Amino acid sequence: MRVGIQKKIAGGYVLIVFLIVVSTTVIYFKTNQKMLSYTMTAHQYHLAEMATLGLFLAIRNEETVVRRYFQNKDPQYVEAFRNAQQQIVQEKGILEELLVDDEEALRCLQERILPTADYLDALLEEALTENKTELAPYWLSFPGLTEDFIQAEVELSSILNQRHTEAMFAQREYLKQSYRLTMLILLILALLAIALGLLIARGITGPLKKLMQGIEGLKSGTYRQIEEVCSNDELRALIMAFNQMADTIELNRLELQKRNEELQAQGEELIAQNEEILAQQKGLEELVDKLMKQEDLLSRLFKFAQSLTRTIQVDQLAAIVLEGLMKESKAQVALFMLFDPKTEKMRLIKSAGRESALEQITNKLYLPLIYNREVRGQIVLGRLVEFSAEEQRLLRALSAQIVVALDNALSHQTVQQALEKMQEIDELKTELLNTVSHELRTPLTSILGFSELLLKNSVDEGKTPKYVQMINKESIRLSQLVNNFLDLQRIETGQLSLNRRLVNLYDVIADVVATFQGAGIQHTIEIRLAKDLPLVNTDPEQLARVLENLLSNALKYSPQAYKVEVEVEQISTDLIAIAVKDYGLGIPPSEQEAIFKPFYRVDHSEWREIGGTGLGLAIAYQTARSLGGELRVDSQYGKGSTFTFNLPIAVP
Amino acid sequence: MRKILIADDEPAIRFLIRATLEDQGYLLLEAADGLEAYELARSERPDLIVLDVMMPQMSGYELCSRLKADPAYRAIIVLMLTAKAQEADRKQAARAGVDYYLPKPFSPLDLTKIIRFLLAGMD
Repeated sequence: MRVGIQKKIAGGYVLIVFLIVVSTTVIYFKTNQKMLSYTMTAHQYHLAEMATLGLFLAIRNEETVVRRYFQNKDPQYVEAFRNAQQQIVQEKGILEELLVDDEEALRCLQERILPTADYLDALLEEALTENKTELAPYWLSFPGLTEDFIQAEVELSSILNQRHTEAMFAQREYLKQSYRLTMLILLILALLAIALGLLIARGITGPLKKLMQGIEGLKSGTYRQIEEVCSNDELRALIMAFNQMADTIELNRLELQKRNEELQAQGEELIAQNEEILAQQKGLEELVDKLMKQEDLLSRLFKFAQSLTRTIQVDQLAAIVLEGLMKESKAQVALFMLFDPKTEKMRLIKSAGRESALEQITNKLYLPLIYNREVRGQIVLGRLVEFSAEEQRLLRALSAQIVVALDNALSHQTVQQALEKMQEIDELKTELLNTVSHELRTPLTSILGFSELLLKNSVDEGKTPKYVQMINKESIRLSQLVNNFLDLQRIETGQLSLNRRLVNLYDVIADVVATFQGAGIQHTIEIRLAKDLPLVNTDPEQLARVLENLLSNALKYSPQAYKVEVEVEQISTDLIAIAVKDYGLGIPPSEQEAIFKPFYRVDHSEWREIGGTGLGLAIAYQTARSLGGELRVDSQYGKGSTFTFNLPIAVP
Repeated sequence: MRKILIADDEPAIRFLIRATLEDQGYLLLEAADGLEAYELARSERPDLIVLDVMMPQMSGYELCSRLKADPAYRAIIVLMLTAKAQEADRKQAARAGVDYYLPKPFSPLDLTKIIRFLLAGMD
């Protein structure tokens, strides 16, 4: 049978109330009874006291009356005596009844008080019966109220008084005692109530605690039945229900576990597959990442390469490269250097950033620019922060782009230079052609013109020889011009074949001078040779050609002078200097270089008769060179010129 | 009598032109370079100048330009002789205000006809 918690608590309270009621009732009755007995005793003694006083008074009255009777024989005293006697009997009866339990007081009363009354009675009765009127004898036999009587009187009073007081005290003591007892019992009851409360509470919280533990256990997953609790209330039902639930849960759990294990087995398989897929995916991601990085690098390279294609000029390329590299590397300073194959040194083309800071910067990255295993240059990057491997990779990749662009630019430069040279040559050729055509047209014009005039038949007889002479003269000039020009071309193109032999310079010079003098010139030609000149291994015809042209030039451009000098001396172990000196018009300094060019003629307009093809000095210059020598001019404008031909003695 | 100035630095050409024109009834003057020709043109005021292009001191083009720029001498007819016969030279001659352009070598008979024609136009 189940007893509810409410009933339990109610039962507890009822029990406590019951105990309180019983105990207070018991105490109450007990105390009441005792108190009554004490009160009775006290009252008894009080009454006894009162009765004693009456007794004492009556006895004294008897004595007084007896005495008076004996004095005057008045019968009224007998009556008074009877009244007193009656009162004594009455009082005696009350006292003996009251003091029935008090031996001491009763003995005092009967042995010491009452004999006196009996004596008085007997005394009066004797007087009355014997009619003895004589007082004296009686009176004399009557000792009066004795010392003992008075003593007894006091003693009895004091005993009674004592007994009365004692009863009063005992009553008070008992009252105190019963009060304490009540307190004690209430205290005990209170303790009992607390104990009971605790007991009930424990009876409730114990199973609750177990239930909580069970729930906690369930929560944490450990299955445990809650052991039977020795309480027969809702908690037990709760615990039983809980146990049932736990059972169900455990069953479910077991089933679930089984399912779980199956699932886990499947899951593990899946996980294994998944991991494989993940691994593949990771590989793929890495690949994509790598590709993206590569792509990033490629796009940067592409952009960079694009920027590089903006120019094919080396200088501009260097500027673009440095700008790009400074941007990419965030360097503080960048130098662009080209390798100069002639000096075999790096030459700074352009710098960016603070070049002066390069010495202080410890982190330097050298990017060599190598194309086809040929060093083309290098780039130096200086930065305060160290270059990471990734950055170095990027910068090297960029430098690979730069090399291509640089090679392009250098090729372009080479082609450009070649083109410029070709253009220059072409221009020179055109100019030469124009000049040649102009030079040829002049004699041609004369020849054609005069011959046409002659053919018209309208020419005066006298003029005819002059025209023919002109035709002849211009024809010779034309032929000379053509020959000279062809010679010059041959010499310039290296087609001149030299016939070297040991030559005595004097012979050659003398021959040439003789030719001029034979042509009827106004000048004297002085020849001055140093002594002990060696024979020279050279082509005498070409040497003669140089001399002819130099002499022709000297004579032509010194119209106002009277002599031309030829001086020969050895200036070193292997060089002979042949100088042709005139005192003529001279060459302005600005034109001294140009005179060796074909068809160049210094403008001396005041000497309008100076003719010529304009090829003489050019031929002399080129011939001198083909002989391994050198021709130079030293001239003072208005005072004359000296052309010096340095000729090697042996074959160079 | 018409006055003709022959300006050429080549004596042979001057002689040829003189020989060509001397019995045609012209007064002939000669100059051997550009500057001399320019000064003679200003002082003598010829009717026509036979002018070579390539001359020392002053080129034929410059001489012609100068004369044509000056209203006092603009009427002088300039017949330019040149060994250069390229298109560029022709254009330069036109810019300089040359009246007639004759490449070397030329035919003396043609020259006579051209001069006669040019001078006839003046009348």
